[in-house]
Amino acid sequence: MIIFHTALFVEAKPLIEHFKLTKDITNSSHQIFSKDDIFLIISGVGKVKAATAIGSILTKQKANIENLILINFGIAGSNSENEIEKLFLINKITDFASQKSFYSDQIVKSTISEKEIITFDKPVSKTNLQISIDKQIVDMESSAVWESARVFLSSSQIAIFKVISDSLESKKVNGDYVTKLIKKNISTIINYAKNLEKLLLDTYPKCLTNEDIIEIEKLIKELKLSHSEKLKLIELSKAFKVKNKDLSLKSLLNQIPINSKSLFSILQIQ
Amino acid sequence: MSTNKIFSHIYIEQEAINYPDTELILSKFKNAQIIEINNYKEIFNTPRQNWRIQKKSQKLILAVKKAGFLYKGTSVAQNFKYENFYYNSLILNCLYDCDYCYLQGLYPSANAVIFVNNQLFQDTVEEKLKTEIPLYLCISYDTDLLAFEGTIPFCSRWIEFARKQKDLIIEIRTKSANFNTIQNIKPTDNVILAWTISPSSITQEYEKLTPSLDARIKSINAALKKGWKVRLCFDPILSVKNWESVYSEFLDRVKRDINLNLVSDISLGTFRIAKDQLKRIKKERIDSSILYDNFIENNGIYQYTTEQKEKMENFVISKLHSFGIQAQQIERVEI
Ligand code: SF4
Repeated sequence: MIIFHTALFVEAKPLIEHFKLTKDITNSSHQIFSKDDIFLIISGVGKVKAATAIGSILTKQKANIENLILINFGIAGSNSENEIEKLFLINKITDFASQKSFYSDQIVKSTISEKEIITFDKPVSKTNLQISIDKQIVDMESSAVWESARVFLSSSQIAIFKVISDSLESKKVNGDYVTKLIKKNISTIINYAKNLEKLLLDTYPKCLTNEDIIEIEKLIKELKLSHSEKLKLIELSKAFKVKNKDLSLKSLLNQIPINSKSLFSILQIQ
Repeated sequence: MSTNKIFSHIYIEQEAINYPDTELILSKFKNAQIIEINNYKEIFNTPRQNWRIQKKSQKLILAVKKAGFLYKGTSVAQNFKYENFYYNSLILNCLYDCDYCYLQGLYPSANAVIFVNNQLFQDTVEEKLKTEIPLYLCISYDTDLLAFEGTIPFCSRWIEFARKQKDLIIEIRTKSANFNTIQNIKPTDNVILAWTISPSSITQEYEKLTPSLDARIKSINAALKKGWKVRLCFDPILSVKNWESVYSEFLDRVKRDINLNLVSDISLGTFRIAKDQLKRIKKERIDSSILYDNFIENNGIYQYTTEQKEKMENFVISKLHSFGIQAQQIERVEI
């Protein structure tokens, strides 16, 4: 599963069109779009809105939390004119208010240039910038996205992309222009997201199949196993599967006379 | 889908930037992306990191160690009966990827940390030598130091340091085949090069990224030829399928290819691991069969049943005796 997050609808539009996402009209607190295993949440601008949106969608996906990745993308500002319209993958995020820094894992190989970002609470321009920025770019959500996602996810499950839309002049950026910038880069972002998702799923293959889990749950019910017995059964089933890669857990369990003692001892010697 | 290569990114503590070792290391990774950090712990120690994913593209962190330059050894490690048994952590984590490695359960991150203020570690040992002698020190403890020699020559430095400290005995334990990186250094009697070797099938299946048994044997022989004190470590001995024939063939091979008369001693132990660490490792390494044996718990340490442990260790020991190795040359790990 891939969850995308943007602050603005104009940023999200190319993704909605690419995947032909449809709006979830049951959700009134945030704009959520989805199709199959692709989700998109639009939070609005700023740290609080971003953190709330991320927290809310990840809470709903708690059951899938180990198998999903979160991708934030959107526009950012840079001090350098030369960087306008360029796409960057973020490797360090600093929250200006708290001065805390966070680092993403950068495992997937890509040709996208990397950048550090500073997240501010308020819009910044060359005239009100309180620090000198040379190698970083700036935005208003990244640190909140990271901190709120990290409550649920590992550092390998999150990636942040920014396209530079302005060079910190205080002019307002036109919505169509934002959409155009994102559209130019959306397939690169999606490609990276898919690679990251594949990396996650390949690295942690499921030990027990859905069939195994159904079988185990059936036994837990039939034998009225206590919580600790249940954990023991799951552990022994995993051990059986790891040691006997070609054998079926179901056929083994079906051969066992149904009582918990014999169940545990048979699994133990496999 | 490919991943970034090892040390594609180097994270450097601001305080570490001006250390000569930082410069030395960076000169070897000219294309690495450099990212400044405040403190290595803000990246290394954060919870919820995916060890296995990080291992696919391990990063390097350069840091300045503030405390903990020398630790008293625990009983899970071997100490050849030295009372003053210490270890230090010059580097955290390893370039290799053994299925059974306790580091996976010890550290939240798979990335490697090199402490660039190595001198302070040596100063601490010098201080300790004023009160505790002889002092037995493992310097390749939470890592494989010789594997890193091409990146940072800590082994060479510590060998030279040991040469000047007559009451210090240093053990450098390794699975590497990197003897060539120290081959021009004159051997010294108070440094033991301790090679862990395992049957080829085990190396291939459970000691990922490590050099082959052949390559390690070549390094061992080169070290012996130069007159180094060499220890062989059969540790951990694993209860794999047909372990008797696997270890029997392996030991015959060792006898055939290494002049055991030149080897100082042999240490051995069956697989053992702290209970909490095994729990954490199993979450990361879902598919390794050696982690799913029927272990018994002994003082918070999981190990094979006493019967199995005895059987395996006695098997190896009697084979070694049949090669003419004396009992006093063999150290068995006791928990
Ligand atoms: S060589 Fe040692 S430290 Fe390195 S991964 Fe293997 S067991 Fe761990």
